[in-house]
Amino acid sequence: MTLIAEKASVSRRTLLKIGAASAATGLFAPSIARSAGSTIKIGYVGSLSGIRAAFGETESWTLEKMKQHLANGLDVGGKKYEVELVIRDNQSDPNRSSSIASELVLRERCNIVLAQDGDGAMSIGELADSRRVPTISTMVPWQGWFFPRGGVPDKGFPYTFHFFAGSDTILETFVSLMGKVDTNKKAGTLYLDNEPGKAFMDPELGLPPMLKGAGFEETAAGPFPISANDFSNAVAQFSAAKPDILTGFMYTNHFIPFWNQIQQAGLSPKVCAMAAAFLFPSGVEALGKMGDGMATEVWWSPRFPYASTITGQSAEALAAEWEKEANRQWTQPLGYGHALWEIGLAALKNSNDPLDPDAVRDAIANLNLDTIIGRVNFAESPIKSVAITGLAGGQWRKGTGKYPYDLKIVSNAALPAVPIEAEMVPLGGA
Amino acid sequence: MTAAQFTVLIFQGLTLGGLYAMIGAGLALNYGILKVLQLAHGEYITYGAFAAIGAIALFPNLPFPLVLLLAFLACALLGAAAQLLIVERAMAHRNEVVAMLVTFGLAVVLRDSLAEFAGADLRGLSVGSLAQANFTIAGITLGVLPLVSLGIALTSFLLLALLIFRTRLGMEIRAVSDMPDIAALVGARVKRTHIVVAALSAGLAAIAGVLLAMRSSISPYSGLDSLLIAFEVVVLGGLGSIRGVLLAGLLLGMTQVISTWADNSAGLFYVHLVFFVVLVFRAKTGKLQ
Repeated sequence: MTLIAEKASVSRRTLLKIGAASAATGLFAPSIARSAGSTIKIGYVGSLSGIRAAFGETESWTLEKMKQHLANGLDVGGKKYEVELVIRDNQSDPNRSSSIASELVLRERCNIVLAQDGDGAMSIGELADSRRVPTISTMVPWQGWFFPRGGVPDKGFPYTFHFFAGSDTILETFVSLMGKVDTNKKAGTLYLDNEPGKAFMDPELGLPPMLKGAGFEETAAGPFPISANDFSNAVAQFSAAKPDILTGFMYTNHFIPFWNQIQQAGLSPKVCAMAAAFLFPSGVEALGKMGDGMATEVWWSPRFPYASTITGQSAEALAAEWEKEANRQWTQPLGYGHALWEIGLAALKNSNDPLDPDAVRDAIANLNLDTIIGRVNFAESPIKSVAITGLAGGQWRKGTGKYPYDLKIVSNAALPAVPIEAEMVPLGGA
Repeated sequence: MTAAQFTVLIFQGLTLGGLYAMIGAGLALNYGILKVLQLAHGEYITYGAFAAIGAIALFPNLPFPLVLLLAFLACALLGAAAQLLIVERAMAHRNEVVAMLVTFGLAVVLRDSLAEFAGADLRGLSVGSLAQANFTIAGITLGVLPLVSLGIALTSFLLLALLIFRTRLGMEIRAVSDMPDIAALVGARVKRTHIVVAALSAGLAAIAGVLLAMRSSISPYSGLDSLLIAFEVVVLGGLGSIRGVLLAGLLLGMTQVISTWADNSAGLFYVHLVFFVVLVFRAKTGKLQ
């Protein structure tokens, strides 16, 4: 028996190194320091470690790049401002996210906060709105951020903003992927019992009606708690129904024991499109040879025909730089993590007075920017406070170059500007 | 539910129960012999898993039995050192609460030290194709890894029982457990026995940690979840009973798997419910010990 240690994220030590380096250059000033008249304080919260660490794998690198970019300050309306960064890792922990929210809003009194994940965004939302701290978040379907907070589409929120694709777009993409392979039209579904999972399994707006509408017969194994370590029940149901398609929402740490139990039961599905589980190469590599053909949503890829407003780099160039410097394969949050800073810095620049929360809030609300992930349009959005972005459908295929698997775009129904790279094939390859 | 589906669920319940029994074994031994509720037991489980992960990272081709042995020895050493340097002194107070509070502090220090050293990320041990291997009996397909996991758990319990009931060391351990003062008077080395038991408990926790990391994934903060399971297994099994712990683990594993059939999102709810009901029943009938 050969054992392999699995680790799918940047270590906290890497972050600490960046923190130490930044402290040395004076960017992470002591928390007792308050924003001076010409200093912009930018807060950041993200899942740099913990269960969603894979979402933050590229973030430490992006933060380092932004630190370099802002080392000489930021020009706003002809005036040079010093920039102070307050970077916090919520360790994918909602409780920690809450204490960080208080820290960034109340203690640090940041001029703007960038939230890289859903926990960070949800925790800081009410506080930021009530204390007038403009906040921009991403990397969770906009419905999962908007509606649980009681959002009304024509009103939005006072100071908090979000940009990402909708769960409806993800689901449409998934259904289109399923239709690209010849199957018995039976789909086994199961979902993590969290906000995105609930949005996916919604009987009226989620995957069930879309599957039905597209002629698929669903075997629903229902929701499972985040602490789940056994999927016997779902596997038993799927063993009875023998669906050719497995789909739903779960993280990689759930998918590995689930997939092991599927294989142990002797099932051989033809399509596996699991939201969140296959966003990252590490999740697919952990499956060994079985990773070939796993399907996923693609929010961003080096093949997206867009460029950065900060560096001027194309998506391809940004991914190449990351791969060269980090010596690891690109991941989707690389694009969104970069775009988060594009939006934040553009808003500060457009505000004319980055220290005035109302000016920054208005600048975000009026933003319509072509970023490295595509157009982010708050100004003309039908949902106030939200900029809805597009996404493509992808499939992990056996790598032909440096990495075991490459993510190929196989469906661009929701984002026609992105070129198709390959045909969708059944699990296990063509 | 068909008979075949029911059989598969029973199999999954048994294998999960074997893991739960393993999680509780060290805690039961520690409490049964030392009369100390070792609240750092969950951290020992986590350290065992991380020791295995570290060993694999350093020596990728290390055979599995050696990985298991290394994890066992690393945690046994940690358990022995903690007993010698910290817990033994707290036990001198002859007040169980003092020792328990000390182990609580130890748990916090161990947990945060590991998070600081290794980061808060989830990690797992991949066993390659074995994780997905299966076999078929009478038309029912079952997994090999759960069976291997159950085998390791049962073997560990068997060896533990042999050690306690069939060896001179075991006799000494039982003597120190039953009547420590008299055992000391007739020449038993009480302090040494305590250290051996603490080492053995931590070593058993390490095996549970390795099995846990093979099945799913583990983080420096997983210890609390493991401790909760261990605590329920130990209390259900009768404080300090090895056979009771095995049966309690199997009961809880079966409960989890079968209850999930009725309620998908139940998770560990019914496991905790069974624990609660049994505890109330015992309290009512005066059989808490």
